[in-house]
Amino acid sequence: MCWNEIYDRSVEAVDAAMEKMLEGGEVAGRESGDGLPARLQDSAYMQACLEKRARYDGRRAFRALRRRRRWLRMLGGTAVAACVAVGVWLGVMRQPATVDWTVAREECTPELGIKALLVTADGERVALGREERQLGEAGGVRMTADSSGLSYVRQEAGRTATVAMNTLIVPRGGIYMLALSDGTQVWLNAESRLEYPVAFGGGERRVTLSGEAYFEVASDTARPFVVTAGAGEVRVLGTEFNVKNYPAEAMATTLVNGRVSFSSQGAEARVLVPGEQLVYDEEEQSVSVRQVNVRYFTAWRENVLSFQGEALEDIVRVLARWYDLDFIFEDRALREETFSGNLDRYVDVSTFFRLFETGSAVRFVQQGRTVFVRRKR
Amino acid sequence: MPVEQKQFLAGVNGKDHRAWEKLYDYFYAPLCCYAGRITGDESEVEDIVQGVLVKLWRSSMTFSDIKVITSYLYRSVYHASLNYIRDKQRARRLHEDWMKERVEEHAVEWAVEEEAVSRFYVLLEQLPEQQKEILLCCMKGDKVREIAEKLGISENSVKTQKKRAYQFLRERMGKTWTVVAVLLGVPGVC
Repeated sequence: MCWNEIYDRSVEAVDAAMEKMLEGGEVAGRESGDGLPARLQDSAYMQACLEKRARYDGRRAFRALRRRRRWLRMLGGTAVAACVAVGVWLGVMRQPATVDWTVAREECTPELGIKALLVTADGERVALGREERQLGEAGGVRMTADSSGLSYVRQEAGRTATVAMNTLIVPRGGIYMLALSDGTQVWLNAESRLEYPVAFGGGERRVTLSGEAYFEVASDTARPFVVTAGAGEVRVLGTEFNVKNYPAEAMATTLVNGRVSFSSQGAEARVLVPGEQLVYDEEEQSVSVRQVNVRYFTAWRENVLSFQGEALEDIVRVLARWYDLDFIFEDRALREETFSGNLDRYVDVSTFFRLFETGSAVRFVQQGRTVFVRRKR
Repeated sequence: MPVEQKQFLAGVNGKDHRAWEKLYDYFYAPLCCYAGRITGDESEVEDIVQGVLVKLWRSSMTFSDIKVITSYLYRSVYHASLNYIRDKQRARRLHEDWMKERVEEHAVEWAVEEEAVSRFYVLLEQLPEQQKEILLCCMKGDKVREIAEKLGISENSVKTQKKRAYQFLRERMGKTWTVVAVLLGVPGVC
């Protein structure tokens, strides 16, 4: 079918109709040729067409579209390819990492993308950037880094006696991938921090998370995998799930595959099935479980910022972490405005602001790293 | 390419509010009528058309030519309508073959027809009110005397106005004429 002809052929039909009219042949040739030019000259036909069209209100439909415009969608394949490697020092001494976010921010590259700061057991800090480098080896575990992130690969069979802890810190504007020595894959979102042993011992495999991470846990029935997140912990065998545990926000675990159980000091253990999300509010010691579309909660791994009817207040928190901005609401009521949409995380933040501003009462004014959220006049 | 057309395309591509309003003014009702022809059922044509437009609105697709927008929209509405029929007709399979054959045969013809009606109407809309009236009466086959009586003007004025209207149409003939200029200048098509 020749869809490309629609425009040209309609122009021809209109021209032909006009030509006939100008010749004064309102009736002549009505039955000849294509028939369309003749129909166009037929006022009864035109009248019928227009009456039919009058039923459909384009303006109203456009207003409806603008109400839906909060369903933003920006596609575009801004995939990030580069990954990372740096020499890593593995020590034996365990030392709690005391690096704060500011330091991590300073030591990592300022661009958005794949970046992290690795803090080794002896306190050495290594900024992981885009360059590919060779890494060291310690405790029978080789450190490699390529386009898939940082990985710990066991060189020898058997268990390591010493358990050296490493900490990976992903600053604002960063995202990072990590493969642990047991084969578990971890994606870390911006402003997150994961503490884990270089090699797992014989017992449970335990890591500590602050921020947001997606886990694809390598199955090992003998050694349960445990994520400590604030006051709660998520215990799994082999599974895929997302844990979000930012300070001052309720902790949420979203299960994609397998089975996990969540427990905390204040609440009973709960078992989740795929598609369920558990939200734990530490202050209120409350646990709630709901069915969710897991794609929305794991979209960040695919470089999409996904918001589903979320309050602007929560949305800007995500933006703040990714774009390294601070938001100030000049009108408190705007915090409650809800938006939905999926946005490519590598678009400039101003594009995002412009899209959100159109059709809503919100206006963003950026001054340096501070963004004022105003109500439009 | 005329400046207005460039502006319009840039607006459509950039999801500009004004350009999209024009896009809706021009295409929404015809596309609904078009979907009605294909589905043979007008109950959900607005949802079908809005679905196509929303998809475009959310996409990052860009167009270099108004012709491409025209074919894109009609083609998309065609496919969305077929999907609608397919979903609806699980219950009444029998109609399907007949529907498909008939629809495929006419899909482009119908699109050309809807687009021609839009174009022609936009053109008539540009005429001053009285000239338009006279022209429509002429199209109906009314005599000059009848028109004069109906509009309460002299036969001579009818003749003059008719001549002017024809002159106006003549100036706008030819393929260089683009509907987009009109699109941006005239508030509403329907």
